[in-house]
Amino acid sequence: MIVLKGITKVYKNGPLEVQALNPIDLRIEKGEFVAIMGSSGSGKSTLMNIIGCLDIPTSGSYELDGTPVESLGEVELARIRNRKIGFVFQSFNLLPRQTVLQNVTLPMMYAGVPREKRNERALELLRRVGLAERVKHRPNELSGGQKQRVAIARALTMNAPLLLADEPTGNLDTKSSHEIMALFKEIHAEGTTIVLVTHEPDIAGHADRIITFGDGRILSDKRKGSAGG
Amino acid sequence: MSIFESILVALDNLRMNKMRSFLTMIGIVFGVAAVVTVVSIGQAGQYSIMSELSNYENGYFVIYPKYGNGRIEDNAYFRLRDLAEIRKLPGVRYVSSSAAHGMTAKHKKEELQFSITGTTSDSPKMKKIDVVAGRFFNSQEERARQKVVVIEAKFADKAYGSPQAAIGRKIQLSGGMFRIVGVYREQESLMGGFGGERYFAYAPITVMPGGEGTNDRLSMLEILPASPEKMDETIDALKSWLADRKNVGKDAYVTESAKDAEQMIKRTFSILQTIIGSIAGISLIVGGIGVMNIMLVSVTERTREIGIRKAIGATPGNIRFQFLIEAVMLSFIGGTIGALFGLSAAWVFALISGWPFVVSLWAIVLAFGFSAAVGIFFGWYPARKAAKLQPIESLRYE
Repeated sequence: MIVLKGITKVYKNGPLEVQALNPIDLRIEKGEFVAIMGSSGSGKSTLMNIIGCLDIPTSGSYELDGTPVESLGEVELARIRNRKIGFVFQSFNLLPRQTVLQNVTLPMMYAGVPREKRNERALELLRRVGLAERVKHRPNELSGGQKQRVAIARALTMNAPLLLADEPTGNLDTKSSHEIMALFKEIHAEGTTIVLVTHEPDIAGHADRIITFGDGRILSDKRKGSAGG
Repeated sequence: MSIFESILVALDNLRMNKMRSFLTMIGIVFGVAAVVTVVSIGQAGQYSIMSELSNYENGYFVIYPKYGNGRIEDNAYFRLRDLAEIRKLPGVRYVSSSAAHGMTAKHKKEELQFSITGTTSDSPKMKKIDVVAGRFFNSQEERARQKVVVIEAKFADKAYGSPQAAIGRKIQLSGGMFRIVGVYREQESLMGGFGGERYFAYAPITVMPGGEGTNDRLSMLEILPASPEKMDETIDALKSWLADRKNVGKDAYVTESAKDAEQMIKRTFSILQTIIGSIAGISLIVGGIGVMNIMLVSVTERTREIGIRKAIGATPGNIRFQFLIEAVMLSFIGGTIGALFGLSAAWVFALISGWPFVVSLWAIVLAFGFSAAVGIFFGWYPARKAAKLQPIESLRYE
């Protein structure tokens, strides 16, 4: 699913160069549930953005679902983000002026899905995350947990094979966090590959594989149930 | 995402910032309103003058003595007997003169003001005189100095009930007792509204009173050449004949043709429209800069929105289109309001001036085309800026 070879990322800040990622090699197979852990500044979010085609590596090669990403132009990258990846962010990133339903239909709008199909699919997903009653609400009328469930519904609309979650529970209380993680497990059980960035060990504990980051390097890579785990 | 949906999204966004959108539009509104008003009024003016000119037969011209040192050489005036001789000149078909005389008419103890034009029986053959009853006076009546008159329908209706009823009646004018032989309908004229309540009529030039610029001292002749194409030759021959006859220089006379007038009017209107159109164009450009300014603000404000849209699959093209449509909608709505204002202004002007109300399709198309072009031109840069934003940086933008 994800093959990273020698990925580096250098940020230039005036004369200063910051090496956010040292050469990274990583393979994530289809259907895995991976948690990436590390303190802030460890490079985990940078890696996440590169995997999500939101950021471009300084060097190295990245193959997503068989497609070499570094050779793609902006339009193809947009298409990949649209069809292959669903994003869930810590700060939800919903459009504040649009209704819940409009937010969920947005990826399908860019994919050119006809209006009726869009609404049908969005309603189906909102029902699934338990927000069927809130379709006409705006994001600021929802709780954090509800907002994140809207974001998850939005990430699922295109049936993307990969779900990327960047600190999805970072702004949520414990109860909501558990609900969100339960939802992730359900989604994973249906065959979606999930990559989750977090710094909370108990959240990471839901994953099958935990990769720990530090200083732009992979410090450890453990699989649940494996000898080292 | 279809164009229709993009337009809906754009309208939605404009609605979110009603006041701002409205203020931004004002520049465009004024620019377009100015263009539509000016072009519409200009066309109405041109149309009404042209339709007046079209009352003259092709080739029609007038000739009059030139003012030298503020006065006309006495021998340069035309005499009545000249008319018959000029008519015989090669290349001349009809000759007439028009001199208006104010007269009062007594009708049922009421005193009415008349403006009577002394002219020849050739007159209706050179320009349109819409005789609705009876006939125009003929050359025998003219030569025999018969006091006959062709009155306007407005007076016939008032005094006798109908044009037909007026035929054969006698009317007491200050020049004597006249017999009504015909009734005509006066053309709606640009100047029709001026000069107070009075009636118009035609009578043979031979029965008009004498005096400066009148009867035997005519200051103007109307000529229709035998062939309109040879108007210039006819004018030349006429001037030579007059120079010889009147013992004046060949340049003692000036001519003016309907064609000259037409060209001059067209030129004048086109210069006027160009000047005012340019001013309107400048105000449109200023309006366009307003659109650009507000779109740049909007792009900065919505950086995060752009980041979110890009993250979930919007291409740079989608983003560019979204902002471009918004800019175009701004100027297009402004253009629509402006066009309505402009048409209303032209309509009010038409009501006041008596000119026709001409809905200038050309002006509307121009205004819309121009305002859409302003939207595209001035929306392009902000839209491009939005499209070029990096998704990850825009997502981090607070």
